[in-house]
Amino acid sequence: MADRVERTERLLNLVMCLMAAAMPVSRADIHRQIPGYDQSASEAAFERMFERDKDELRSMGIPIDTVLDVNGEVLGYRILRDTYGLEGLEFSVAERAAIAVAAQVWGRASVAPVAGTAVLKLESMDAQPWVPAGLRGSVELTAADGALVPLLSAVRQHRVVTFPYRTPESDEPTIRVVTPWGLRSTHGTWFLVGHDHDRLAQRTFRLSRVVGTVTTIAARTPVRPPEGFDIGDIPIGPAGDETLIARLRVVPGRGASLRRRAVAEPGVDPWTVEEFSVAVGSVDELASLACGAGSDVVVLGPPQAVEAVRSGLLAARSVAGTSA
Amino acid sequence: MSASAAARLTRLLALVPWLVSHEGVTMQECAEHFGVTQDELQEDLWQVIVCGLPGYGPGQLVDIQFWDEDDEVRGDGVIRVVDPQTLGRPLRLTHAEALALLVSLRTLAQLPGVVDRDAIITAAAKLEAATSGEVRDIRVDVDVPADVRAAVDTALAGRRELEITYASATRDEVTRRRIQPVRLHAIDGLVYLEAYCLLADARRTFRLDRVVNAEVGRPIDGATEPSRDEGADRPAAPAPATAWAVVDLAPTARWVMDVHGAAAAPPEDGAAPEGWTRVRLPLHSLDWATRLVLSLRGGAAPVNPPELASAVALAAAAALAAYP
Repeated sequence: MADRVERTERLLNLVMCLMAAAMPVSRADIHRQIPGYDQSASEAAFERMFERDKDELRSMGIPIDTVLDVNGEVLGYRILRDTYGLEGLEFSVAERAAIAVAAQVWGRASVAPVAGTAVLKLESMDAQPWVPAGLRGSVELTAADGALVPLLSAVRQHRVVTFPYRTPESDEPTIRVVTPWGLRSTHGTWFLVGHDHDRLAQRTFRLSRVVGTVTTIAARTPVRPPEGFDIGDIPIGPAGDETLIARLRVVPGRGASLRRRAVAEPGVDPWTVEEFSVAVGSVDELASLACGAGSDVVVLGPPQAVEAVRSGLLAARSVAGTSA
Repeated sequence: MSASAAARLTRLLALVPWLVSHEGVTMQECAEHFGVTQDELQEDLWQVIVCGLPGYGPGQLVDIQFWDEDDEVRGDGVIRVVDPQTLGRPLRLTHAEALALLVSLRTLAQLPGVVDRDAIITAAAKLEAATSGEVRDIRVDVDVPADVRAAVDTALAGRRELEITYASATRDEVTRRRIQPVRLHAIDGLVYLEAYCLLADARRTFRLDRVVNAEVGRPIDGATEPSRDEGADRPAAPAPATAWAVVDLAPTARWVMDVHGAAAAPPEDGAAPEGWTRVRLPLHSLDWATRLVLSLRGGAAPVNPPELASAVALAAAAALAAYP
């Protein structure tokens, strides 16, 4: 390799230079001293190169500080060793085993390499072994969606992101602009909760409907989450308002999805009894569940629920009849 | 910087501290640890030792010895770090790396079948404290009631039977079963228990969120103990459906595509009527598909197989008999 200095070499030298210097290193010194920059054709070429390198090192987690003078001019750059290093962490044998399992849990998901480098770093702290153990079985977090990795970072740093999003109601995805506030996997599905910048309100997004790349928009100002935001408190999925009580007769051993919604009655086991009441969100929800159960379930009341089930079954029969 | 270049730089930054903390390791051991070939490792080492601090004289470069006088890799293959310059400590974790581990640790802590739950919780707390701060914006919900988790824990640890009430969603039925737990498999917060079922006299997989009730039963005696090897590496999650049904969905029923993994049908399946969407729906069983179509109350028109349309029409007619 003649006189071209490889990118990796330039970046390694930059990191070491900024860590070793007692004082912030000026751009001019960086330009002159670091092999690779000194070959750049012009000042402008150096500036472009250095800006890109700086951004990329920061995105890898390397804390490059920009030091300003009293007039707010950039004096130079430095990396404090205290903030660079993984310090002050000590784990017991069982804790190391747990972390090693935790890294494997991601399997082949897009997050797996990220968890892998985390463990590589932890393993470099000392000579102790990290042997995964302590689980009777296997665990997998699929996060089948490529969107999870960029969103993990964006959520923590409250950076505005944009992504194409497809809803079941339309064929074409729409471009959404969102400040991500939290991520949650519930019933095996990942959701993003955040502020939608076009709809000016909190929205929930299903990650499997993000159909393209998640991109950060540095220029947009993020909207802060409400005070004390906790993703565990956000209702996700159908609202839990149970407003309709209906009376049913169900074949013993059948109708599991309706039995699950049984209203507690003293001395009655909803899993075996024939006649019981359920609490559901709406007539529509009850009709969906009861029609799905077919002749295993008879709705006894109230009348509007009976009518909804009857007309639902008629509609199903009619559609099946015309297409058969 | 390409993803692979970033991965290489991350590896180089972990390589030096790992060598420092693992004195006396060989080229082979090191290559295995980082998942690279010995040639790639040599390239990495050559790259690192030409880097250093401005001046770039002998005392300012990273000094790692892995070759002898003939420029060959040392006979014993041992790598020795003489001077790591500023790279002796591992780089701190990025937000994404810390979260990747924290999310999976948090998930593990909620699962049954873990040997040392306390170690998982304290490991997560240490990581949280040292890296990202308290995580309130990302979580994985594990849908296992606490009493079921405790019973499964006891049964797995003490090799005992379980008596369960199981509400099957695919068959919409409720059954009481005696089972001999074998192992757990968790996917994104859904937990499956693989067990020998004495009712079915065969190995079965149960989703723990559908276990209504679980009581620890008698010890599993050697004679009926299921073979440990049989299917030990087989994931316990339900196999993906190999057959599908073709169904036309009304706009109100298009959510089915997300929830049940249906995909737009290819052109050879023909076209849906105006305003409807033709999809291929994984066909777990004819009975299951019939109940789904019924529950959609006219929002789904079965196209193929023809048995589905007739099954829906028959089931609707049978259910309607209760509503004269």
